Formats: sequence, C-alpha cells, structure tokens
Amino acid sequence: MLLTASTSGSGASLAPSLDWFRTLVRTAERGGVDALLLDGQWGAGESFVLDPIPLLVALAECSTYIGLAGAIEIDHAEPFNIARSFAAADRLTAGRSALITATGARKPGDFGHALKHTTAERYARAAECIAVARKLWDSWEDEAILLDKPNGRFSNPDRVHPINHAGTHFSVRGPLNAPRPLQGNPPVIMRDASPEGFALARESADLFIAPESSDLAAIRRTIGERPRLLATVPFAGKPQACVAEIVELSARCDGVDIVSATLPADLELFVDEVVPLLRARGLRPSAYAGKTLREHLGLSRPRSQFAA
Amino acid sequence: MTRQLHLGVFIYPGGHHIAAWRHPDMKAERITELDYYIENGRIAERGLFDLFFVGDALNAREREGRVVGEIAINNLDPVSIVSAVASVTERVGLVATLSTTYNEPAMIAAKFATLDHLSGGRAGWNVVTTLDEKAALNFSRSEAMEKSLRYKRAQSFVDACRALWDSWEDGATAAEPGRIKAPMYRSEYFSVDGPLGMPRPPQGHPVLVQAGGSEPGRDFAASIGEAIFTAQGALPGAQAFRADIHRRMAKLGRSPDSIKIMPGLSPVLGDTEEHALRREAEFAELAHPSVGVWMLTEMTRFRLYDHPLDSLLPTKDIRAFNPALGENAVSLMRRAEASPMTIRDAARIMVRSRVHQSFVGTPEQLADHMTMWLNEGGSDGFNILPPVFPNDFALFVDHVVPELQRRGVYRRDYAGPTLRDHFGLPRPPGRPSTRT
Repeated sequence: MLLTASTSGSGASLAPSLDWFRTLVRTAERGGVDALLLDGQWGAGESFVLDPIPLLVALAECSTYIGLAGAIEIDHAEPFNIARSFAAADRLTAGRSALITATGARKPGDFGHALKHTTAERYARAAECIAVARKLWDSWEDEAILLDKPNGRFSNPDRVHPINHAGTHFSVRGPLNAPRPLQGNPPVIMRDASPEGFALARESADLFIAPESSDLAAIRRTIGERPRLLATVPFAGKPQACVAEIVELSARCDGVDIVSATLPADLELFVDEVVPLLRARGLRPSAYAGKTLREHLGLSRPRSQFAA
Repeated sequence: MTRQLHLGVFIYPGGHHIAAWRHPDMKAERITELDYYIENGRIAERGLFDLFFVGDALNAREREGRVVGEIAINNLDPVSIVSAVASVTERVGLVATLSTTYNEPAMIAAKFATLDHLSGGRAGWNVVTTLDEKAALNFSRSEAMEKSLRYKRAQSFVDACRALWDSWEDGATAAEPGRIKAPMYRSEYFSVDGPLGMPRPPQGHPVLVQAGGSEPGRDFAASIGEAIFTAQGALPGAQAFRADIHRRMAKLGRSPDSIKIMPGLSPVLGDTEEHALRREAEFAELAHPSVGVWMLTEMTRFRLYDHPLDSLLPTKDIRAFNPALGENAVSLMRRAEASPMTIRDAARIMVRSRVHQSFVGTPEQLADHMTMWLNEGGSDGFNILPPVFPNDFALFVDHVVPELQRRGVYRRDYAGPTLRDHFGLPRPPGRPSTRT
C-alpha cells in the first residue's frame, strides 16, 4: 500500500520556519513515507499558506528519498510558469517533486480574470493548463541533451520540439527552456471531491486523495482506474486503532494519507508506533526501493509525447 | 569609514563564457543538479558576498526557429535555485529574477514573502519586464507588450506587491484579525483584494533590484530600485550612469544612499598577467564564432548570419533596422563606432561576457581596479560574472576578496543576518501598529 502524509494541522510556529518543516520531512522520511504533502495551512488557527516552490526546493537538501508535493492554484496559473518551476524543482530534488492542484479559487478576488469565469470554465482551464504543462515538460526529449564537448554540441535540436498548443484558454508555442524533469512529468495529485474535481481527476490525476469516510468504491467508479486512490486517515495518537483502520482501508484502495492532529508530535508517534506494525504485516516496505517519487508510487515514467 | 564595496555573484549555466560548459574544468551535467548551486552558494557565503543572483528567460534560445545546440540550456527557474541555496547558507542574500509582464502580483508577493521567511530575511527580487517578444508566444499573446506600457504595468505590479506585504502589521498573527487588513488594491492593470496569506516578511519587503537601462527603465529603477545591475564597459560611462540614476532619484526625493549600483564584471585571473592572458586565449578557443553571431543577432534583431565574419559590424544598418535597441546593444554600437570593429571582434565580445566589463589580470590588479571604480564614483560594488563555475568564482573569493579587505574596502564579516543589513538599507516601516 502507498503512504503519504499531509502537513495541515496545528503545531507550527506563528511565522513560517524552515526548521519546523525540516523536522517534518526528516520524520516522515525516517518512517519511509512515500510523499509529504505540503499543501497545508500552517500555524496556530491555520494562519498561513506558503508558495510551494521555495518550500519544496529548500527541503530537498535535508532529505534523500521522500517525495515532496507542493500546491499550485491551478485556476490562476500560467502553464509555462508551472512547467518551468516544476522542471527545476524536479531536477533539484532529483526526481522527488509532485504538484497538488488546488482548484476552487481560494481567493478569486486576487485575480482579476478569475471573477469572469464560471465554475465549468475554471475547471476546463485547469485541465487544459495541466495538459499544456505536460506538453512543455515533454518538449525536450530525454535524449535531447548531449553534452558532447569535443564537437561542441550541448543539445540535439532535432529532439527539442515547439508544442504549438492552440486551445480554448491557452496558446503556447514552446519549447520549454528547461530540461525534461527527471521523472518525465512530475506526478499530479488531487483531492478536490466536487463533481468537477472528480471529472478533472479522471482526466488528469496520477493520484487522488479521497476525503475522510468517503465511499471509496463510488469514487473509484467516478475517477476511473488510472489514478492511484488513497483514503484519508486522521491520526491523533491511538496506534492500535489506527493500524486496524489502515489494514481495513488498504484492502479497498491503493493506500492512505495520514493527517496528523498536531505536528510534529503525532507524525513522530505514527512513524515510531504505527509504521513498524504496518511493516510487520507486510503492508509497507522496510526501506525505499526506488529513488524517485514515481518509483515509490509505482507509476511508470512516461515517454515524451514528441518522441519519434 | 571608507566606502565599502558590495558584491554579488551572477550564477549562470556553466559560467559566463558562452562555451563554459565545454571547458575541461566544467562537469556540464552538473548544470541541472542541486550540488552545483549549493557549492556556488557556499563559495559566495565564504566570500561574504552580499548576494547570489539568478537571471531568467521565458523562452528557449533559438536560431531561426530551432534551439541553438552549441550552447547550454537556460538556467533553471531562479526562485528554485535561490531556494536551494537558502537551505545551505545563513547570510548571503538571494536575488531571483521574475517578470511583471507574465505573472500576477498575488502569486509573486507570496513567492518572495515565502522565500524571505524561509531564508530568515535574505530575499531580493530582480524586477524585470521581459524584453524578448518570443516569450509572449509562450503566454497566449501574439506580441510583446509595448515598452512604456510594460513599465507602467511593472510599477503597478510592485505597488500591489508592497500593499500585500504590508497587509499584516509587523508581528501580527492570525489570532489578531484586527491587525490584518485586505489592501483592496485597484489599478488599470490589477485588481488584488488580499491580504497576503502569511505574516509580513522579515525584511518588511524583499529588496527590490532593477536592471533596465533604457529611459523608462532608468525612471523605474530610480523609483523602486534598491540595487541596480548594469552593463558598464568603462569608467566614464559608469560614472555618468550612476550620476544619472542619482539625479532621477533626487527628483523623487530619494537619497543616493538608498541604492547600490553594481555593474557586471567578468574576471579572468592568473598568477601573472601573462598567465591570465593565456587563460583568456584558451576560453576564446571554446566558442565557435557562429555562436557570437547568433548572440549579436538576438540582441539587435538584425540578421547577421550571411555577413562575412571579417567585415565591419554594420552599426548604421543595425540602428536603422532597429531604432529601439536595448541599452546593452547601444553600448556595443558606440564601442564599434568609436573604433572599427569586425563582426568577428563583436562576436568575441559577446561570447566572452556579453557586453559586461571583462578584466584580465592578477588578483592584486583586479582589487586595485575595483577600488578605483569605487573611489571614482563608478559604482557601489560589482556583480561578479565568473567565466567558469565554480573554479573562477573560487579564485575570485580566495584571492581577490582578501586583497579588497586589505585595502579596507570590503567587509571582514557580515554586519547582520538580512540582505537589507548587508546593503545598509532601512527596513520599510509598514502600517502603524494597532496593537492594544
């Protein structure tokens, strides 16, 4: 079964602190967690949110295996900017990055254009945005970079492609000015359980996190077979009960996302008390088998859509 | 105390020589790896540098519709790079470039506020408006925004960001909603309600850096800039540029002390002058002239591919073809008009350091040269452009920095933890406290 950890919850300092996040990353990695989901609201009383890129990349150096997922407000994003920043994040984390697409216009008042869009238009724009970002990530084939010093050929232009995307919401010529991410495309994670959110997940998600106590079979039917499906498990310090719940859920989906009530204390308790029991039952590996997040999640690495 | 130099390092894929990736010292695969940036960030901090600077581009480097295969790919996303450096350093400032033409203020204000919090007050934003019209095609637009409009939008963009950074009073927490106020910023360009999603950044505002050399660019720099990067090949031009910026600032009621002007400087160092010259000749071997011709064509928009390499640079034709040349191109045209320059000569200048000042000599000679520029009012410091990373950067830090310290023009330790402390810049006060 797959295992991710969410980071919303109380326990953060009043102002953002890199050391506090480092503690979470190191703890989760000690417990072999596949990915830490950095899409929370942190601090006392859910007091702050952060931009994902500085956070995710600043946590690369203190960890080796764990996936690091950051939230993108996909309704407002430009695909070129997303593709460029996550191409960097994926390289700098050595293939451990993922995007969590936040839909629902958290603060539409901050974006003039958002006020003009209907809900359906916003989700259509989000789907197109993800599709364009994937084209941009694929615009440099894996073999495009040669580093051939004697002949002075850094790259092979035949393997770099304009994408010439002309859609409803975006027209983007490309190519991207960044090498293909190490994972090919960083995984896309969603947790929007609205009807539009399910439809978007069916089209574009690699991993979907169902809300607590939801009908997993119904969600599976709605989002289709492709995305990995995880159940949400709250964790507030009762290891035995938690193990039983995870064992029961893991039979009905691909894994679980742990939501700690208080951080880092409950995450530490989970890692020290629950993870060993899951390992003893053969539900979790004793160590990371792969290096990239795609490998942890059992997702194959996509070939560039422009490769001959 | 004697005026002090401020130093930045401009990271680049491989180095500032366009063919640096081919140099035997350079492991080219490192350009896209974490360790490359971490190593150079640590060298910057060892050299007590004010800042580590990353530029940006929003389109691939192409020649007539195809990626230029002879040169390295652009550097990775600048905010990502400086965030990696933030995690392994304690003091050095972190300046990332982002465009006001292809972003939204709410996102950028949050990005730099996050960086400022996570780095403990070391963030700086190089505010650019993106000249290259090819970028427009990657952002659902058919052409670049006209220059004066770009700068009006940029001014409004910065105003909106400042309003967001000030939306929380200093020290306010989410438990004190009365001390957090949505700015409801409105202009012709943006509508931003706010407030910011996190407490006020440690520096109040990240340090604002500017690099525009045109008329509207200079006005913008004089209005919002706290540091300026500029390409200045010779002292008289640098003095005139600095005086011009100070004049524009005076009109706006700003003191010249509130800005640091830092021209680019690309050093080729050697134990002796002959050694340095030999090293420069080695660099020159690495780049094919066609790369320099491509760079000239990109900079001027005037197609030079079919011109013989040894013919004179056709400055008259270039100026007639493109009356809106950028400041760097104009400076090259002036050099070519002052003394005859072939296309091959111009190409060599471009591959060497673009139009930035290059210096070939010993560490002592370079320290004298930099001190002279400082004392003669040519600059407040320099943005260092090493030809090859990390070796040429380490040479500078280990051999030139001690010479500057000996001359009393460079710090022996950091004065404080923030980029504002390094620059001696005041912290923007923000809204008055309503704490009860």
